[in-house]
Amino acid sequence: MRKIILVLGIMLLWNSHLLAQTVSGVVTDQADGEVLPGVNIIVKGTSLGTSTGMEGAYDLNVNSLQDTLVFSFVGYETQEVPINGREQIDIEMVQQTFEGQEIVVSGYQIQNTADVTGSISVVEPEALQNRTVSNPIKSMQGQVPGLYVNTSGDPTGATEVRIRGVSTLNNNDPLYVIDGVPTKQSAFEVLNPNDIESIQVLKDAPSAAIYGARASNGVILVTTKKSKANTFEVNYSSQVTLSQYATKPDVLDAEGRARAQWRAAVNDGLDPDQIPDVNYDWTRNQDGSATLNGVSFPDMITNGYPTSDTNWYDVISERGVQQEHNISISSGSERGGARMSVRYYQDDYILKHRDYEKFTARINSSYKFNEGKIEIGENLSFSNGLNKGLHDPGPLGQALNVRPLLPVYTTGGEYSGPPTGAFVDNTNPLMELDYNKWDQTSRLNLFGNIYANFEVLENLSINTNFGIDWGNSHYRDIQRTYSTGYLSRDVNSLMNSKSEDFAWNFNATAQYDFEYEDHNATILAGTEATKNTFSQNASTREGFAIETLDYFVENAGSGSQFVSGSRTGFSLLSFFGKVDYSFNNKYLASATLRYDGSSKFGNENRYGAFPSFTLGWRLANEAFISDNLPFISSLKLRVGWGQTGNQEISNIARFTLFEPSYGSERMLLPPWARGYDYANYGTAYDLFGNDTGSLPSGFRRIQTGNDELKWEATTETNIGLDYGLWDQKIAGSLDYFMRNTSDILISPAFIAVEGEGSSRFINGASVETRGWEAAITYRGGGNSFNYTVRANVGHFNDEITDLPSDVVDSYPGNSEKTILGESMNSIFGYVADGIFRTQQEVNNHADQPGKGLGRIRYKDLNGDGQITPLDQDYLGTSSANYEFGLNLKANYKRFDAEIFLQGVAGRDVIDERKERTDFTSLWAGTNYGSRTLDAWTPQNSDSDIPALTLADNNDEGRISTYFLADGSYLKMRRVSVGYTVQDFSVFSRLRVYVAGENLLTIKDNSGDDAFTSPDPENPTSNYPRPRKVSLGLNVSF
Amino acid sequence: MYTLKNSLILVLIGFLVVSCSDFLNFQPKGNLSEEDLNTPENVDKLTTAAYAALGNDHWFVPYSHMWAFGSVRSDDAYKGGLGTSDIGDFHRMELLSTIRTDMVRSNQLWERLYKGVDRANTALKRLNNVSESELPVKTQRQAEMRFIRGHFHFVLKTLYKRIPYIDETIPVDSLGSISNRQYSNNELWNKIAEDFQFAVDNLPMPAQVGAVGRADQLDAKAYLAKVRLYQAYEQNENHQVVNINTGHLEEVLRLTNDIMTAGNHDLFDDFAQNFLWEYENGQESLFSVQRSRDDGTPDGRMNRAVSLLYPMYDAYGCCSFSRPSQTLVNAFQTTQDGLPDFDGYNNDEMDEEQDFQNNTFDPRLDHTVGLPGHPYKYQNDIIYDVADFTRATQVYGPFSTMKAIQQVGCPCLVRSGGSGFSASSKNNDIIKYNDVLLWRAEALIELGRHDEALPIINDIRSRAQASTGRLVDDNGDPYSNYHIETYQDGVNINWTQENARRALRWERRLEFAMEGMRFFDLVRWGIADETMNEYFNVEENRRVYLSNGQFTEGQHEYLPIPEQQIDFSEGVYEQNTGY
Repeated sequence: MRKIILVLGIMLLWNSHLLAQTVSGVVTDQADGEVLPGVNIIVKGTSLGTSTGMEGAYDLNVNSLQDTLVFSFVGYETQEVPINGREQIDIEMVQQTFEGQEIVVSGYQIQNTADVTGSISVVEPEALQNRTVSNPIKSMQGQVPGLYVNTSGDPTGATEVRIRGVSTLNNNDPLYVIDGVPTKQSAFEVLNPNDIESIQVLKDAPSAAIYGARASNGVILVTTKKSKANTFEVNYSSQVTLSQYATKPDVLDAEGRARAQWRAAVNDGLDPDQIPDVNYDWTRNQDGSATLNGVSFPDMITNGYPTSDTNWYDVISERGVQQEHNISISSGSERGGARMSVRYYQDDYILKHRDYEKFTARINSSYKFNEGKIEIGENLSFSNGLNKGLHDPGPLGQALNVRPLLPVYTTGGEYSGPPTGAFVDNTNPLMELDYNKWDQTSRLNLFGNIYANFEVLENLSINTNFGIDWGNSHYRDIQRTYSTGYLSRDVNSLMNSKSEDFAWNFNATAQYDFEYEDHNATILAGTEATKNTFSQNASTREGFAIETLDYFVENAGSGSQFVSGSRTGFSLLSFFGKVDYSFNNKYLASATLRYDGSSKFGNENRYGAFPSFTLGWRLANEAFISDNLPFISSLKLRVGWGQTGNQEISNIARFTLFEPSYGSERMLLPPWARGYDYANYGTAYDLFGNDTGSLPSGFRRIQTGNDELKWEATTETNIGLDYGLWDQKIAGSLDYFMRNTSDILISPAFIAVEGEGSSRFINGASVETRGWEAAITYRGGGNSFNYTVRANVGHFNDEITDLPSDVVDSYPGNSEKTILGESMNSIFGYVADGIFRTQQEVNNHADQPGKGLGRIRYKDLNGDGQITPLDQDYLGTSSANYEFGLNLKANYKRFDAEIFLQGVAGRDVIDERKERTDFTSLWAGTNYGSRTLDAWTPQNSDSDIPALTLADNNDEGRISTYFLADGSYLKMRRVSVGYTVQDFSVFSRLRVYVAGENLLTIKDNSGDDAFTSPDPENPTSNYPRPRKVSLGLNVSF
Repeated sequence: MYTLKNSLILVLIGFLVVSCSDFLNFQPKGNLSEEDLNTPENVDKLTTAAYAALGNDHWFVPYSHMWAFGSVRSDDAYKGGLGTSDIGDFHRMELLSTIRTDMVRSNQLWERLYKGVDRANTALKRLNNVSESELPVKTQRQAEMRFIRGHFHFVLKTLYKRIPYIDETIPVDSLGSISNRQYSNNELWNKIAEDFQFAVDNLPMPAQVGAVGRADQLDAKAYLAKVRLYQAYEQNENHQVVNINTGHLEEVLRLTNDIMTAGNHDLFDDFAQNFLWEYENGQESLFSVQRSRDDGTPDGRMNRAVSLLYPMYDAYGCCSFSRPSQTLVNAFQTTQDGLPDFDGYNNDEMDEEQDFQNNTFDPRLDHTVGLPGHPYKYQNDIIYDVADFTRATQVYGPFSTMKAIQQVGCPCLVRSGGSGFSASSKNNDIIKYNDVLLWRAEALIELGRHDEALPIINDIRSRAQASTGRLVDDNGDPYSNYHIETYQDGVNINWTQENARRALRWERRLEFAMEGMRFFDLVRWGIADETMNEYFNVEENRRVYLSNGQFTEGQHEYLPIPEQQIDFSEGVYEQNTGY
């Protein structure tokens, strides 16, 4: 790689020495006359170029004074200037109009933003670059109003994306369309942030309706970079990041754990002297209270297990290192060209033995012939993600469970395990990471399309596109034997699971442009077919004599072997059309109709029709605005109505199905998988009492069909305003939307007497979502200091408006209160009304089993004198009502700086970690949080933390406001400072920068609302987002 | 050239339109449709799947062994585990006073038991439509399915009392509207009995069945006897026993007589054989849930219902649940006559090694309870040490359960991969011959024919007396100081009906201790209230956490109908009295 760069550099230098004639000049900003440093100047059709220096001046050697120069600069219109024999050319650059002149891809066609009448947001590609994440989708967080991105520190980059909140009760993932190829599964895998030319988010149904069946959660359109005509460009960027686990939970040390347990035992009337592995120096006072004078530990827990004071979070974590390298080469002529790029990304995560690597390569090329009337091209990307080490965040939970008294290693140097029954049945979290370090998933994706566009007549073009989305995953899971404490695994095993998903997509459109006097119209008609198939095979082999990575191959095993496999798929066939019309450049209208058929539905309701209509009025072009309010540089009112569909159900949901279930699934999970609902659905039985050998087996019903299933439909009305003031110094948009989703596809929970496999999909519920979004940009400065402020905020509220009675019970509620009228993300539970501080309070309170001094008092909401499930209510909603982003960018001479803030508000969180940080009674034998030391006692009567106990007689783990926390936060996502030099050595441009991520979080830290969990963003998710500092380099040749 | 390309595209579009009906027709892979199941072979396989449901339980929701609901909920056992919060719902059930109507484990139990009912009904629906010529064993299979349905309904009934009764004739659409009050308590018993009666009438004798795992005629007779025995103690709406129905007791006598005279079953020589894998499906076993290992399933169709019961000992692993109570251990004490110490048994705590030498005991103690200093599970090389075997000793005391545990060297025993949870392929006995004998004795006593009950109870005691062969250490010394005698009317007991009843109930307590039966016995006899509250009064001084225990008469005899199910039923289900 390095050699190529060197050779390329030498070639460039070589060229420049051959040339004789020189053109020079100064480049200034047309608006304020300030000189512009860093403007790129290139000789058209060649790779010759330079850029302006600090004073805006340039010198360029050219072959001929008849060439044409191309001036380009970010934020300015590109200009082509024929030299025409001149040697001095001064240029005034014109700032790009922020809104209006840009081109957007809006679904099978390209439009001018000025003509767009739906709610489409454009993501700045720059905002996705130089970020320390594996995929650019994750970086979209906070960039666009109405786009909600929920992320964790998961090194694989798994991310939840929601457009305008939630609209359905099942899958809320948007549809991604990359270079015209739709996908729901590969967007996180195949995209290289440096390849992205543009990202558009179709937020409302009026604009998304052209994607019909799969568009109800919004559509994200991605276009990748192509080569530019008459350019040759080489770009290289590199970044190294150090990351740190900065949000470790505050857990007890060995002495603190012993103190908490002593207190709990005293409170319960148990004899603390019987607590194993601790020696207490304590006295019983005359008033019955007890005082702890000191805590000491014996030298050993048991043989080989010295008593220790381990902080397990320190043990399992390390400083993370990330690196990223990108190179792209682009070469184009008038007739076409190619762009190639390669990206390597690696994240050695802050957990030990966890590593993620990704390699992405792309080649986009196109060629025009027949006087440019035919264009053929392809976009193809290859990516391979390699996720190494334990695939779940279990050890992060275990680190809280396992007590500090346990050493990491025994005196023999082996991993420790629970040595006695007094320790919880969790394995050593470090061993869990170490012994699973050979686990890995490699996911290989091939994604792309070939296309051919024909200009049949001057106004009629036909575009065809064939795309593939192919993914191949290989998961290897090696289970090693161990014997640590009372936990052991006697049999080792190797599991290899391979799955393949393949989708092809074909679409063809014809577009006719019509122009007559003040009338402009475009007519688009098209068809599309998509077929998806998925298959999976897995094999397991047990019994390997040697535990080395090289030995874990199926043939080397001598024990049992199991295989499993499955296949599924779906297909879609669509027809669509669109008419756009504008009159006098002031009045805009468009109409869309899409007709979709899906294999997921039965014959009767197989097809669905999805229409939309929009109107636009460019007010700024009206005389009464331009004459009276000249500061308004652009103003457009948009109104739209549209319908989209959703088909996100099982591919075979409409059938009643049985399956043999001989027992192919493993039911046993690692012991820390506590909450797992161990269920056993086997159909094999030892009828002959042989105790071993092959068993007779039968079938079980797995689902009940519904031949009347039909499309889930989303109807949305959007009203929007795009504005620009003072020559677009201030620009932005406002949107208001109302969305109704009806016939929601849902598989409701069912009454037990209906028996096994009674789950079935029905068209059940309706949800209404309303919200608004605002975005504003201000560009200021002048001279050598420029800055931009961009802010956006989105708000939504959802409400379930209709639920059939047999669906109601699938959602939180009780026999008196239903979720109707509430958000689908409502939290339902009891109201914790403080704790009982006097016996009188206990006596006066309603009948509450387990109540007592220091216990949580639950509100008797229905006043019937007893605390029952009917005393629950809707306590809040777990989806954020507001999400906002604020981006400040500035540059001064060669320096640039950026601050990006992002936050959410109006979100409630059930902080499940509080079960372990505040209580000794809900998780037996584990370690606890340091808050337990401040729990209520008669002496510490002001505390709001319930008295410590080992018996949860008051059922305090129930969902209640005690666990409710304000989930709002404001995070400083990124701060960066960069320095750019031009014409340095072989580089045309070189920028170095330092950046920090997640440096500061502002959240509610007051009283009981304080988060006991480490990250407000993902309070119950276990992958923390590290604090990061990066050093990076971008160069162009 | 353009026209050529355009035509190609048009052809392609046309092709898509024409073939779209095919294009959009995706069929499921690797599944069967309802129609596929109508062949005689597949209908028969559905009956196998119904049998499989008998053992489809797991450690958090055990129903093939009722340790959580029959032992922990009674005076037999403490919940155990790492502390009172380890499986909180079972702790609530142990204290009774803290039982909630929306306990997750109770709801799961209800759901999974009805899955069993459903598997039987699914098979029955199709069996009814198959002709005898297609499937010669049609009637036998119908009878087996009704037996299994009867079993699941019986288990549900003893847990929840008023349950919706579901058979294969109810249309799928109306299943949700079947009330749990459709039948009176007595009618519900009759519905369950009908299924077993059909099984009695149509099942062959064991020799003709050919598969030991299938229900046979004697199994059906035994189960029917059990149903009628429970039914005989008639309860009012407040769960109090208000009458004993002699008709049902007479039926118990007829049925148990048939079993005894058939000659297929007998008591083992040694009580221990009931609890050892080597003897499963032996002469004392009537109906049991078959378990298997190395059977081609990844984890084996093992007995995971009792996985949590294994002690912390290295070779077993985890998790020390269902711990014998001090009261239970004391109950094994005998007087100098070799009879139970009915009145004074619970005065002292038998918990030190020397207590078991200085006092006399029924030998069944060492078959049931792991005791300090004694070899564990007849393994003289494994001496029970409290610190090694138990956890949360300060909460749950020094004892461990034993009957459900298999010996370390047993080929049936498997340490589950990646966890400390052991499991074995030892069957779960649902009905044993000793149970049948004691039902008969119970019926005789309640019919006033207690003299006839005396030899039966003494058979049980004689067998216990003879069951000391495995309870001898390497020096030839018995583990404990055993002294047990039979009842001799006028010699060591005055065999009145009242004394006979007390003797019978005590005998059941010792014979089936820790087998998940005790609570159901207490409720059947109508003495749960007094027994449990006395237990809590005594035990709260021994196990502090039990001071919160309280049995409320007219409420805690049954679990509440899960709130979740009442919600699903839209109020069609009525909650049990007291909740």
